[in-house]
Amino acid sequence: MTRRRVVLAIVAVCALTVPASAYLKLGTVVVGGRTMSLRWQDFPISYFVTNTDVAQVSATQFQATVTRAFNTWHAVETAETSSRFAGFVAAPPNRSDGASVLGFLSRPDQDRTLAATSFTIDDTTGEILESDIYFNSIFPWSTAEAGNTERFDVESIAVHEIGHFLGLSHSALGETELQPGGRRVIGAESVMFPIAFSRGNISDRQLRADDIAGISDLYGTRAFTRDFGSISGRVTKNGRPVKGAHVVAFSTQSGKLIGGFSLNDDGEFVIAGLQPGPHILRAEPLDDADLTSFFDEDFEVDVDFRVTFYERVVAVPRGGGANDVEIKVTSK
Amino acid sequence: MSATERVSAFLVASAAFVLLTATSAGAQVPTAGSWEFTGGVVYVGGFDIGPLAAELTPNSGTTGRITLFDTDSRVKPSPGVLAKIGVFLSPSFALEGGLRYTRPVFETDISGDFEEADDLTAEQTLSQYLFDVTAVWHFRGSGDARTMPFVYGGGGYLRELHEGNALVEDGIEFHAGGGVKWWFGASARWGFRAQGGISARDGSEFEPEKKRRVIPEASGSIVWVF
Repeated sequence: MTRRRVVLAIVAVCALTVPASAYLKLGTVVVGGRTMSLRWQDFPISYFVTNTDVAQVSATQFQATVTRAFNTWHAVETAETSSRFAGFVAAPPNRSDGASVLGFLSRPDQDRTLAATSFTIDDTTGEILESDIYFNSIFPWSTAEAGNTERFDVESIAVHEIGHFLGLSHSALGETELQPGGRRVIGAESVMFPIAFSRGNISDRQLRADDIAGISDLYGTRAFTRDFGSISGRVTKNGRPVKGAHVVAFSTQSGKLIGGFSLNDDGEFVIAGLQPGPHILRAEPLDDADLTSFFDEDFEVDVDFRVTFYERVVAVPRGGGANDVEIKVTSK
Repeated sequence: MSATERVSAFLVASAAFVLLTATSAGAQVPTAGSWEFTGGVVYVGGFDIGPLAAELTPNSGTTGRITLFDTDSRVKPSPGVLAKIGVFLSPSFALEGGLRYTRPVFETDISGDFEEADDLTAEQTLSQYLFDVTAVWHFRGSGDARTMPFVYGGGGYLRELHEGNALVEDGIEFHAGGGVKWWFGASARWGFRAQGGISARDGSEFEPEKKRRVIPEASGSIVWVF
Protein backbone atom coordinates (compact mmCIF):
# COMPACT_ATOMS: atom_id res chain seq x y z
CA MET A 1 0.00 0.00 0.00
CA THR A 2 1.24 3.47 -0.88
CA ARG A 3 -0.14 6.44 0.99
CA ARG A 4 -0.52 9.61 -1.00
CA ARG A 5 -1.71 13.01 0.06
CA VAL A 6 -4.11 14.43 -2.49
CA VAL A 7 -5.49 17.91 -2.28
CA LEU A 8 -8.08 18.11 -4.97
CA ALA A 9 -9.44 21.34 -6.34
CA ILE A 10 -12.63 20.93 -4.46
CA VAL A 11 -13.92 24.13 -3.13
CA ALA A 12 -17.13 25.86 -2.43
CA VAL A 13 -16.54 29.31 -3.75
CA CYS A 14 -18.51 32.38 -2.97
CA ALA A 15 -18.08 33.96 -6.37
CA LEU A 16 -16.63 32.28 -9.41
CA THR A 17 -17.31 29.42 -11.81
CA VAL A 18 -19.88 27.28 -13.54
CA PRO A 19 -23.40 26.75 -14.87
CA ALA A 20 -24.93 23.40 -15.95
CA SER A 21 -25.97 19.99 -14.29
CA ALA A 22 -24.72 16.54 -12.60
CA TYR A 23 -22.87 14.38 -10.13
CA LEU A 24 -19.35 13.18 -10.60
CA LYS A 25 -17.34 10.76 -8.52
CA LEU A 26 -13.82 11.55 -7.47
CA GLY A 27 -11.33 9.43 -9.30
CA THR A 28 -7.61 9.04 -9.22
CA VAL A 29 -5.17 7.11 -11.33
CA VAL A 30 -3.82 4.22 -9.31
CA VAL A 31 -1.06 1.72 -9.95
CA GLY A 32 -1.48 0.08 -13.33
CA GLY A 33 -3.02 3.12 -14.95
CA ARG A 34 -6.55 2.30 -13.91
CA THR A 35 -8.88 5.01 -12.66
CA MET A 36 -10.75 4.09 -9.53
CA SER A 37 -13.35 5.87 -7.49
CA LEU A 38 -12.17 7.29 -4.20
CA ARG A 39 -14.22 5.75 -1.43
CA TRP A 40 -14.11 4.73 2.18
CA GLN A 41 -13.90 1.02 2.89
CA ASP A 42 -14.57 0.91 6.63
CA PHE A 43 -17.53 2.35 8.50
CA PRO A 44 -18.29 4.16 10.68
CA ILE A 45 -15.81 6.83 9.64
CA SER A 46 -14.27 8.51 12.68
CA TYR A 47 -13.80 12.26 12.52
CA PHE A 48 -12.47 14.91 14.87
CA VAL A 49 -13.31 18.59 15.18
CA THR A 50 -10.76 21.34 15.73
CA ASN A 51 -11.40 23.02 19.05
CA THR A 52 -11.44 26.55 17.62
CA ASP A 53 -14.19 29.15 17.88
CA VAL A 54 -14.91 31.89 15.36
CA ALA A 55 -17.23 34.87 15.62
CA GLN A 56 -20.77 33.66 16.31
CA VAL A 57 -19.83 29.97 15.98
CA SER A 58 -18.30 28.05 18.87
CA ALA A 59 -16.49 24.76 18.35
CA THR A 60 -19.38 23.01 20.06
CA GLN A 61 -21.93 24.62 17.73
CA PHE A 62 -19.72 23.76 14.78
CA GLN A 63 -19.47 20.11 15.88
CA ALA A 64 -23.22 19.77 16.33
CA THR A 65 -23.78 21.31 12.91
CA VAL A 66 -21.33 19.10 11.02
CA THR A 67 -22.76 16.05 12.77
CA ARG A 68 -26.17 17.02 11.36
CA ALA A 69 -24.57 17.42 7.94
CA PHE A 70 -23.00 13.95 8.17
CA ASN A 71 -26.37 12.54 9.19
CA THR A 72 -28.00 14.14 6.16
CA TRP A 73 -25.84 11.93 3.97
CA HIS A 74 -26.24 8.88 6.20
CA ALA A 75 -30.03 9.22 5.96
CA VAL A 76 -30.01 8.41 2.25
CA GLU A 77 -31.95 5.15 2.16
CA THR A 78 -30.28 3.81 -0.95
CA ALA A 79 -26.72 4.20 0.35
CA GLU A 80 -24.85 2.73 3.30
CA THR A 81 -22.57 5.19 5.07
CA SER A 82 -22.01 6.04 8.70
CA SER A 83 -19.67 8.12 10.83
CA ARG A 84 -18.97 8.97 14.44
CA PHE A 85 -17.62 12.05 16.17
CA ALA A 86 -14.40 10.98 17.89
CA GLY A 87 -13.69 14.15 19.87
CA PHE A 88 -12.22 17.65 19.82
CA VAL A 89 -8.57 18.15 18.93
CA ALA A 90 -6.20 21.08 18.86
CA ALA A 91 -4.83 20.11 15.46
CA PRO A 92 -5.94 22.18 12.46
CA PRO A 93 -7.79 20.43 9.63
CA ASN A 94 -5.03 20.33 7.03
CA ARG A 95 -2.45 17.82 8.20
CA SER A 96 -1.80 14.32 6.97
CA ASP A 97 -1.75 12.82 10.44
CA GLY A 98 -4.00 9.80 10.09
CA ALA A 99 -6.98 11.56 11.63
CA SER A 100 -9.87 13.10 9.70
CA VAL A 101 -10.38 16.59 11.07
CA LEU A 102 -12.97 19.27 10.35
CA GLY A 103 -12.65 22.81 11.61
CA PHE A 104 -12.05 26.46 10.98
CA LEU A 105 -8.79 27.65 9.49
CA SER A 106 -7.79 31.13 8.39
CA ARG A 107 -6.81 31.08 4.71
CA PRO A 108 -6.58 34.69 3.53
CA ASP A 109 -4.69 33.46 0.46
CA GLN A 110 -7.87 31.62 -0.60
CA ASP A 111 -10.12 34.65 -0.63
CA ARG A 112 -12.77 33.00 -2.83
CA THR A 113 -12.78 29.65 -1.13
CA LEU A 114 -15.32 29.12 1.62
CA ALA A 115 -14.19 25.59 2.42
CA ALA A 116 -12.10 22.80 0.94
CA THR A 117 -11.60 19.07 1.38
CA SER A 118 -8.35 17.13 1.11
CA PHE A 119 -7.59 13.43 1.23
CA THR A 120 -4.94 10.90 2.00
CA ILE A 121 -5.56 7.83 -0.14
CA ASP A 122 -4.18 4.39 -0.79
CA ASP A 123 -3.06 4.90 -4.37
CA THR A 124 -3.19 1.20 -5.16
CA THR A 125 -6.88 0.83 -4.34
CA GLY A 126 -8.39 4.31 -4.20
CA GLU A 127 -9.40 3.80 -0.58
CA ILE A 128 -9.72 7.02 1.36
CA LEU A 129 -7.60 6.77 4.49
CA GLU A 130 -8.09 10.27 5.82
CA SER A 131 -9.96 13.38 4.82
CA ASP A 132 -9.84 16.88 6.26
CA ILE A 133 -12.20 19.77 5.72
CA TYR A 134 -11.35 23.35 6.50
CA PHE A 135 -13.86 26.18 6.71
CA ASN A 136 -12.15 29.44 5.83
CA SER A 137 -12.50 31.65 8.88
CA ILE A 138 -11.90 34.85 6.91
CA PHE A 139 -15.60 34.60 5.97
CA PRO A 140 -18.50 35.26 8.37
CA TRP A 141 -20.25 32.05 9.47
CA SER A 142 -23.54 31.19 11.10
CA THR A 143 -25.21 28.17 12.61
CA ALA A 144 -28.55 29.97 13.14
CA GLU A 145 -31.46 27.63 12.54
CA ALA A 146 -33.07 29.95 10.01
CA GLY A 147 -29.80 31.24 8.61
CA ASN A 148 -28.32 34.72 8.86
CA THR A 149 -28.50 36.96 5.80
CA GLU A 150 -25.08 38.44 6.59
CA ARG A 151 -23.30 35.12 7.03
CA PHE A 152 -22.68 31.83 5.26
CA ASP A 153 -24.52 28.82 6.59
CA VAL A 154 -22.14 26.29 8.14
CA GLU A 155 -24.54 23.38 7.69
CA SER A 156 -25.13 24.01 3.98
CA ILE A 157 -21.42 24.25 3.24
CA ALA A 158 -20.75 21.25 5.49
CA VAL A 159 -23.21 19.11 3.54
CA HIS A 160 -21.36 20.07 0.34
CA GLU A 161 -17.89 19.38 1.74
CA ILE A 162 -18.93 16.11 3.37
CA GLY A 163 -20.13 15.06 -0.08
CA HIS A 164 -16.50 15.44 -1.16
CA PHE A 165 -15.31 13.80 2.07
CA LEU A 166 -17.34 10.72 1.07
CA GLY A 167 -15.98 10.67 -2.49
CA LEU A 168 -18.21 12.86 -4.63
CA SER A 169 -16.89 15.53 -6.92
CA HIS A 170 -18.78 18.54 -8.23
CA SER A 171 -22.11 18.55 -10.00
CA ALA A 172 -22.79 20.97 -12.82
CA LEU A 173 -26.53 21.13 -12.14
CA GLY A 174 -27.01 24.85 -11.85
CA GLU A 175 -27.14 28.14 -13.68
CA THR A 176 -25.09 31.24 -12.98
CA GLU A 177 -24.82 34.81 -14.14
CA LEU A 178 -21.76 36.96 -14.60
CA GLN A 179 -21.31 39.74 -12.10
CA PRO A 180 -18.41 42.03 -11.33
CA GLY A 181 -15.83 39.89 -9.57
CA GLY A 182 -17.19 36.51 -10.57
CA ARG A 183 -20.30 34.45 -11.07
CA ARG A 184 -23.43 34.33 -8.99
CA VAL A 185 -25.63 31.26 -8.79
CA ILE A 186 -29.12 31.89 -10.12
CA GLY A 187 -30.33 28.43 -9.24
CA ALA A 188 -28.94 24.94 -8.66
CA GLU A 189 -30.37 21.48 -8.19
CA SER A 190 -27.49 19.78 -6.47
CA VAL A 191 -25.76 20.42 -3.17
CA MET A 192 -22.56 19.47 -5.00
CA PHE A 193 -22.74 22.45 -7.37
CA PRO A 194 -19.34 24.16 -7.02
CA ILE A 195 -20.59 27.66 -6.28
CA ALA A 196 -22.33 28.27 -2.99
CA PHE A 197 -25.65 30.01 -2.63
CA SER A 198 -25.61 33.53 -1.21
CA ARG A 199 -25.19 34.40 2.45
CA GLY A 200 -28.14 33.40 4.57
CA ASN A 201 -29.38 30.78 2.13
CA ILE A 202 -29.96 27.40 3.80
CA SER A 203 -31.30 25.46 0.77
CA ASP A 204 -28.25 23.23 0.62
CA ARG A 205 -28.99 21.64 3.95
CA GLN A 206 -31.15 19.25 1.93
CA LEU A 207 -29.85 16.80 -0.64
CA ARG A 208 -31.34 16.75 -4.15
CA ALA A 209 -31.91 13.81 -6.48
CA ASP A 210 -28.52 14.35 -8.12
CA ASP A 211 -26.70 14.12 -4.77
CA ILE A 212 -28.66 11.04 -3.70
CA ALA A 213 -27.91 9.32 -7.00
CA GLY A 214 -24.22 10.12 -6.60
CA ILE A 215 -23.80 8.80 -3.06
CA SER A 216 -25.91 5.76 -3.92
CA ASP A 217 -23.71 5.04 -6.90
CA LEU A 218 -20.70 4.97 -4.54
CA TYR A 219 -22.18 3.16 -1.55
CA GLY A 220 -25.45 1.77 -2.91
CA THR A 221 -27.57 -0.79 -1.14
CA ARG A 222 -28.84 -3.93 -2.85
CA ALA A 223 -32.20 -2.25 -3.16
CA PHE A 224 -30.55 0.59 -5.08
CA THR A 225 -29.03 -1.84 -7.55
CA ARG A 226 -32.33 -3.69 -7.86
CA ASP A 227 -34.75 -0.78 -8.07
CA PHE A 228 -32.93 1.91 -10.01
CA GLY A 229 -31.53 2.03 -13.52
CA SER A 230 -29.11 3.87 -15.73
CA ILE A 231 -28.69 5.45 -19.14
CA SER A 232 -25.47 5.12 -21.08
CA GLY A 233 -24.42 6.33 -24.46
CA ARG A 234 -22.24 8.86 -26.18
CA VAL A 235 -22.22 12.44 -27.29
CA THR A 236 -21.05 13.12 -30.83
CA LYS A 237 -20.53 16.12 -33.08
CA ASN A 238 -20.28 15.51 -36.83
CA GLY A 239 -19.75 11.83 -36.01
CA ARG A 240 -16.83 12.51 -33.67
CA PRO A 241 -16.93 12.04 -29.90
CA VAL A 242 -17.45 15.01 -27.62
CA LYS A 243 -15.46 14.87 -24.38
CA GLY A 244 -16.58 16.68 -21.26
CA ALA A 245 -20.20 17.25 -22.30
CA HIS A 246 -22.63 17.54 -19.44
CA VAL A 247 -25.65 15.26 -19.89
CA VAL A 248 -28.75 15.62 -17.72
CA ALA A 249 -31.53 13.06 -17.36
CA PHE A 250 -34.96 14.44 -16.50
CA SER A 251 -37.67 12.08 -15.27
CA THR A 252 -40.99 12.92 -16.90
CA GLN A 253 -42.64 11.19 -13.95
CA SER A 254 -40.95 12.80 -10.95
CA GLY A 255 -39.36 15.91 -12.44
CA LYS A 256 -36.03 14.92 -10.89
CA LEU A 257 -32.78 15.95 -12.57
CA ILE A 258 -29.66 13.79 -12.45
CA GLY A 259 -26.56 14.38 -14.50
CA GLY A 260 -23.32 12.96 -15.75
CA PHE A 261 -20.47 13.77 -18.08
CA SER A 262 -18.99 12.21 -21.20
CA LEU A 263 -15.69 11.29 -19.65
CA ASN A 264 -13.61 9.34 -22.14
CA ASP A 265 -12.15 9.76 -25.62
CA ASP A 266 -15.20 8.05 -27.13
CA GLY A 267 -17.54 10.66 -25.66
CA GLU A 268 -19.24 8.02 -23.53
CA PHE A 269 -21.36 8.79 -20.49
CA VAL A 270 -23.24 6.82 -17.84
CA ILE A 271 -25.92 8.27 -15.59
CA ALA A 272 -26.88 5.89 -12.79
CA GLY A 273 -29.38 6.09 -9.95
CA LEU A 274 -32.34 6.86 -12.18
CA GLN A 275 -35.90 6.00 -11.29
CA PRO A 276 -37.44 3.54 -13.75
CA GLY A 277 -39.53 5.29 -16.37
CA PRO A 278 -39.28 7.74 -19.25
CA HIS A 279 -36.50 10.32 -19.26
CA ILE A 280 -35.55 13.32 -21.37
CA LEU A 281 -31.82 13.82 -22.05
CA ARG A 282 -30.17 17.22 -22.44
CA ALA A 283 -26.51 17.73 -23.38
CA GLU A 284 -24.80 21.02 -22.70
CA PRO A 285 -21.25 22.34 -22.80
CA LEU A 286 -19.36 23.58 -19.75
CA ASP A 287 -18.68 26.70 -21.72
CA ASP A 288 -18.45 29.43 -19.09
CA ALA A 289 -17.07 27.39 -16.27
CA ASP A 290 -13.91 27.03 -14.33
CA LEU A 291 -13.34 23.57 -15.78
CA THR A 292 -10.93 22.65 -13.00
CA SER A 293 -13.94 22.58 -10.70
CA PHE A 294 -14.81 19.35 -12.46
CA PHE A 295 -11.75 17.90 -14.13
CA ASP A 296 -7.98 17.87 -13.95
CA GLU A 297 -6.27 20.65 -15.86
CA ASP A 298 -5.07 18.28 -18.60
CA PHE A 299 -8.58 16.95 -19.25
CA GLU A 300 -9.64 18.26 -22.66
CA VAL A 301 -13.20 19.52 -22.69
CA ASP A 302 -15.11 20.34 -25.87
CA VAL A 303 -17.33 23.33 -25.21
CA ASP A 304 -18.04 24.25 -28.83
CA PHE A 305 -21.55 22.89 -29.22
CA ARG A 306 -25.11 24.02 -28.69
CA VAL A 307 -27.35 22.78 -25.89
CA THR A 308 -29.20 19.84 -27.45
CA PHE A 309 -32.00 17.52 -26.43
CA TYR A 310 -31.96 13.85 -27.42
CA GLU A 311 -34.76 13.20 -29.88
CA ARG A 312 -36.03 10.05 -28.20
CA VAL A 313 -37.68 9.59 -24.83
CA VAL A 314 -35.44 7.08 -23.03
CA ALA A 315 -37.12 4.36 -20.97
CA VAL A 316 -35.00 3.45 -17.95
CA PRO A 317 -35.59 -0.12 -16.78
CA ARG A 318 -35.69 -1.20 -13.16
CA GLY A 319 -32.33 -2.70 -12.20
CA GLY A 320 -30.87 -2.33 -15.67
CA GLY A 321 -29.69 0.12 -18.23
CA ALA A 322 -30.90 1.88 -21.36
CA ASN A 323 -27.85 1.71 -23.57
CA ASP A 324 -26.57 2.93 -26.92
CA VAL A 325 -28.01 6.41 -26.72
CA GLU A 326 -26.29 8.80 -29.12
CA ILE A 327 -26.83 12.53 -28.61
CA LYS A 328 -25.79 14.36 -31.75
CA VAL A 329 -24.81 17.96 -31.11
CA THR A 330 -23.80 20.71 -33.51
CA SER A 331 -21.19 23.43 -33.28
CA LYS A 332 -22.23 26.85 -32.00
CA MET B 1 -61.36 17.00 -37.20
CA SER B 2 -58.98 15.66 -34.55
CA ALA B 3 -58.39 11.98 -33.90
CA THR B 4 -60.42 12.14 -30.71
CA GLU B 5 -63.25 13.88 -32.54
CA ARG B 6 -63.16 11.23 -35.26
CA VAL B 7 -63.39 8.47 -32.65
CA SER B 8 -66.22 10.31 -30.91
CA ALA B 9 -68.10 10.67 -34.20
CA PHE B 10 -67.64 6.97 -34.87
CA LEU B 11 -68.97 6.12 -31.43
CA VAL B 12 -72.03 8.32 -31.88
CA ALA B 13 -72.71 6.79 -35.28
CA SER B 14 -72.27 3.27 -33.91
CA ALA B 15 -74.56 3.93 -30.98
CA ALA B 16 -77.19 5.40 -33.28
CA PHE B 17 -76.93 2.41 -35.56
CA VAL B 18 -77.30 0.04 -32.61
CA LEU B 19 -80.45 1.83 -31.51
CA LEU B 20 -81.90 1.92 -35.02
CA THR B 21 -81.30 -1.73 -35.67
CA ALA B 22 -81.90 -3.14 -32.23
CA THR B 23 -85.52 -3.77 -32.92
CA SER B 24 -85.11 -4.99 -36.46
CA ALA B 25 -82.44 -7.63 -36.16
CA GLY B 26 -83.24 -11.25 -36.45
CA ALA B 27 -80.24 -13.26 -37.53
CA GLN B 28 -80.63 -17.01 -37.12
CA VAL B 29 -76.96 -17.77 -36.90
CA PRO B 30 -74.90 -18.17 -34.93
CA THR B 31 -76.70 -20.43 -32.52
CA ALA B 32 -75.93 -21.71 -29.05
CA GLY B 33 -72.70 -23.65 -29.22
CA SER B 34 -71.37 -21.78 -32.24
CA TRP B 35 -67.81 -20.53 -32.16
CA GLU B 36 -66.84 -17.21 -33.62
CA PHE B 37 -63.44 -15.97 -34.69
CA THR B 38 -62.87 -12.26 -35.10
CA GLY B 39 -59.84 -10.55 -36.61
CA GLY B 40 -59.45 -6.92 -37.51
CA VAL B 41 -58.07 -3.51 -36.84
CA VAL B 42 -58.58 -1.31 -33.83
CA TYR B 43 -58.13 2.38 -33.09
CA VAL B 44 -57.40 3.35 -29.47
CA GLY B 45 -57.60 6.94 -28.31
CA GLY B 46 -54.80 8.82 -26.64
CA PHE B 47 -54.60 10.91 -23.48
CA ASP B 48 -52.70 13.84 -22.05
CA ILE B 49 -50.20 13.25 -19.27
CA GLY B 50 -49.61 16.94 -18.81
CA PRO B 51 -46.91 19.52 -18.23
CA LEU B 52 -43.90 19.14 -15.95
CA ALA B 53 -41.04 21.62 -15.59
CA ALA B 54 -37.38 20.88 -14.93
CA GLU B 55 -36.73 23.33 -12.12
CA LEU B 56 -33.75 24.49 -10.13
CA THR B 57 -33.77 25.67 -6.53
CA PRO B 58 -33.48 29.47 -6.69
CA ASN B 59 -30.74 31.40 -4.93
CA SER B 60 -31.60 34.15 -2.48
CA GLY B 61 -32.51 37.28 -4.38
CA THR B 62 -33.64 35.35 -7.43
CA THR B 63 -37.27 36.11 -8.14
CA GLY B 64 -39.60 33.39 -9.29
CA ARG B 65 -38.82 29.82 -10.09
CA ILE B 66 -35.83 28.82 -12.18
CA THR B 67 -36.99 26.63 -15.03
CA LEU B 68 -34.29 24.78 -16.94
CA PHE B 69 -36.92 23.71 -19.50
CA ASP B 70 -40.61 22.83 -19.74
CA THR B 71 -42.15 19.57 -20.87
CA ASP B 72 -45.64 18.48 -21.84
CA SER B 73 -46.28 14.77 -22.39
CA ARG B 74 -49.04 12.68 -23.89
CA VAL B 75 -49.79 9.28 -25.33
CA LYS B 76 -51.06 9.64 -28.89
CA PRO B 77 -53.97 7.69 -30.40
CA SER B 78 -52.84 4.59 -32.23
CA PRO B 79 -54.06 1.92 -34.61
CA GLY B 80 -53.56 -1.75 -33.89
CA VAL B 81 -54.78 -5.24 -34.58
CA LEU B 82 -57.02 -7.58 -32.65
CA ALA B 83 -58.09 -11.20 -32.64
CA LYS B 84 -60.87 -12.80 -30.63
CA ILE B 85 -62.32 -16.25 -30.22
CA GLY B 86 -65.80 -16.52 -28.77
CA VAL B 87 -68.41 -19.09 -27.98
CA PHE B 88 -72.17 -18.56 -27.97
CA LEU B 89 -73.66 -19.89 -24.75
CA SER B 90 -77.13 -18.99 -26.02
CA PRO B 91 -78.36 -17.47 -29.29
CA SER B 92 -77.83 -14.02 -27.75
CA PHE B 93 -75.03 -14.37 -25.24
CA ALA B 94 -71.40 -15.02 -26.06
CA LEU B 95 -68.17 -15.05 -24.15
CA GLU B 96 -64.98 -13.96 -25.90
CA GLY B 97 -61.31 -14.06 -25.19
CA GLY B 98 -58.99 -11.88 -27.19
CA LEU B 99 -55.68 -10.22 -27.81
CA ARG B 100 -55.22 -6.63 -28.90
CA TYR B 101 -51.87 -5.22 -30.00
CA THR B 102 -51.23 -1.51 -30.43
CA ARG B 103 -48.14 0.69 -30.69
CA PRO B 104 -48.98 4.11 -29.30
CA VAL B 105 -46.41 6.87 -29.32
CA PHE B 106 -45.43 8.54 -26.04
CA GLU B 107 -44.31 12.03 -26.90
CA THR B 108 -42.95 14.92 -24.89
CA ASP B 109 -42.81 18.51 -26.12
CA ILE B 110 -39.71 20.26 -24.76
CA SER B 111 -39.62 24.05 -24.80
CA GLY B 112 -38.44 27.17 -23.00
CA ASP B 113 -34.87 26.03 -22.46
CA PHE B 114 -32.91 28.29 -20.13
CA GLU B 115 -30.00 28.31 -22.57
CA GLU B 116 -32.21 28.57 -25.64
CA ALA B 117 -31.86 25.06 -26.98
CA ASP B 118 -34.18 24.40 -29.91
CA ASP B 119 -37.66 23.22 -28.97
CA LEU B 120 -38.13 19.54 -29.68
CA THR B 121 -40.73 16.81 -29.49
CA ALA B 122 -39.09 13.64 -28.18
CA GLU B 123 -40.83 10.34 -28.74
CA GLN B 124 -40.79 6.71 -27.83
CA THR B 125 -43.00 3.96 -29.20
CA LEU B 126 -44.79 1.71 -26.75
CA SER B 127 -45.98 -1.83 -27.41
CA GLN B 128 -49.29 -2.59 -25.71
CA TYR B 129 -50.75 -6.06 -25.38
CA LEU B 130 -54.26 -6.47 -24.01
CA PHE B 131 -55.43 -9.96 -23.08
CA ASP B 132 -59.14 -9.66 -22.39
CA VAL B 133 -62.34 -11.51 -21.63
CA THR B 134 -65.58 -9.97 -22.85
CA ALA B 135 -69.25 -10.77 -22.44
CA VAL B 136 -71.37 -9.91 -25.49
CA TRP B 137 -75.16 -9.63 -25.64
CA HIS B 138 -76.72 -9.70 -29.11
CA PHE B 139 -80.10 -8.21 -29.91
CA ARG B 140 -81.87 -10.75 -32.07
CA GLY B 141 -85.18 -9.30 -33.11
CA SER B 142 -87.55 -10.15 -35.91
CA GLY B 143 -86.18 -7.71 -38.51
CA ASP B 144 -83.28 -7.94 -40.90
CA ALA B 145 -81.53 -11.23 -40.22
CA ARG B 146 -78.31 -9.93 -41.74
CA THR B 147 -77.70 -7.39 -39.00
CA MET B 148 -77.09 -8.16 -35.37
CA PRO B 149 -76.51 -5.28 -32.90
CA PHE B 150 -74.76 -6.04 -29.64
CA VAL B 151 -73.40 -4.53 -26.48
CA TYR B 152 -70.33 -5.73 -24.67
CA GLY B 153 -68.40 -5.38 -21.44
CA GLY B 154 -65.33 -7.00 -19.98
CA GLY B 155 -61.90 -6.67 -18.55
CA GLY B 156 -58.37 -7.62 -19.29
CA TYR B 157 -54.70 -7.64 -18.46
CA LEU B 158 -52.72 -4.86 -20.11
CA ARG B 159 -49.00 -5.28 -20.60
CA GLU B 160 -47.02 -2.32 -21.89
CA LEU B 161 -43.42 -2.42 -23.05
CA HIS B 162 -41.48 0.78 -23.48
CA GLU B 163 -39.03 1.26 -26.31
CA GLY B 164 -36.19 -1.22 -26.05
CA ASN B 165 -38.48 -3.69 -24.27
CA ALA B 166 -36.51 -3.36 -21.03
CA LEU B 167 -39.15 -1.40 -19.15
CA VAL B 168 -42.43 -3.19 -18.59
CA GLU B 169 -45.55 -2.14 -16.79
CA ASP B 170 -48.87 -3.88 -16.49
CA GLY B 171 -52.33 -3.37 -15.10
CA ILE B 172 -56.00 -4.14 -15.31
CA GLU B 173 -58.24 -2.77 -18.04
CA PHE B 174 -62.04 -2.59 -18.28
CA HIS B 175 -64.07 -1.90 -21.41
CA ALA B 176 -67.66 -1.49 -22.53
CA GLY B 177 -69.50 -0.42 -25.64
CA GLY B 178 -71.73 -1.45 -28.48
CA GLY B 179 -71.64 -2.38 -32.14
CA VAL B 180 -73.18 -4.34 -34.92
CA LYS B 181 -72.43 -7.39 -37.05
CA TRP B 182 -73.43 -7.66 -40.71
CA TRP B 183 -73.60 -11.15 -42.13
CA PHE B 184 -72.56 -11.83 -45.72
CA GLY B 185 -74.55 -14.17 -47.96
CA ALA B 186 -77.13 -16.75 -47.15
CA SER B 187 -74.95 -18.95 -44.98
CA ALA B 188 -74.24 -16.10 -42.59
CA ARG B 189 -70.92 -17.65 -41.62
CA TRP B 190 -68.88 -14.63 -42.60
CA GLY B 191 -69.58 -11.12 -41.53
CA PHE B 192 -68.26 -7.72 -40.66
CA ARG B 193 -68.19 -6.40 -37.12
CA ALA B 194 -67.95 -2.74 -36.13
CA GLN B 195 -67.89 -1.59 -32.56
CA GLY B 196 -67.05 1.40 -30.43
CA GLY B 197 -66.77 2.03 -26.73
CA ILE B 198 -64.54 3.08 -23.91
CA SER B 199 -61.56 1.49 -22.25
CA ALA B 200 -60.61 2.34 -18.69
CA ARG B 201 -57.25 1.64 -17.10
CA ASP B 202 -55.31 2.80 -14.10
CA GLY B 203 -52.68 5.41 -14.76
CA SER B 204 -49.13 4.34 -15.36
CA GLU B 205 -46.77 4.34 -12.41
CA PHE B 206 -44.48 6.34 -14.67
CA GLU B 207 -46.82 9.31 -14.92
CA PRO B 208 -46.59 12.32 -12.57
CA GLU B 209 -50.14 11.69 -11.37
CA LYS B 210 -51.44 8.16 -11.38
CA LYS B 211 -54.95 8.83 -12.69
CA ARG B 212 -57.51 6.41 -14.10
CA ARG B 213 -57.76 6.94 -17.85
CA VAL B 214 -60.96 6.50 -19.84
CA ILE B 215 -60.07 6.21 -23.51
CA PRO B 216 -62.33 5.85 -26.57
CA GLU B 217 -61.76 2.86 -28.81
CA ALA B 218 -63.25 1.59 -32.06
CA SER B 219 -62.64 -1.40 -34.26
CA GLY B 220 -63.65 -3.07 -37.51
CA SER B 221 -63.24 -6.82 -37.97
CA ILE B 222 -64.05 -9.78 -40.13
CA VAL B 223 -66.10 -12.44 -38.33
CA TRP B 224 -66.17 -16.17 -39.07
CA VAL B 225 -68.64 -18.45 -37.39
CA PHE B 226 -67.93 -22.17 -37.19
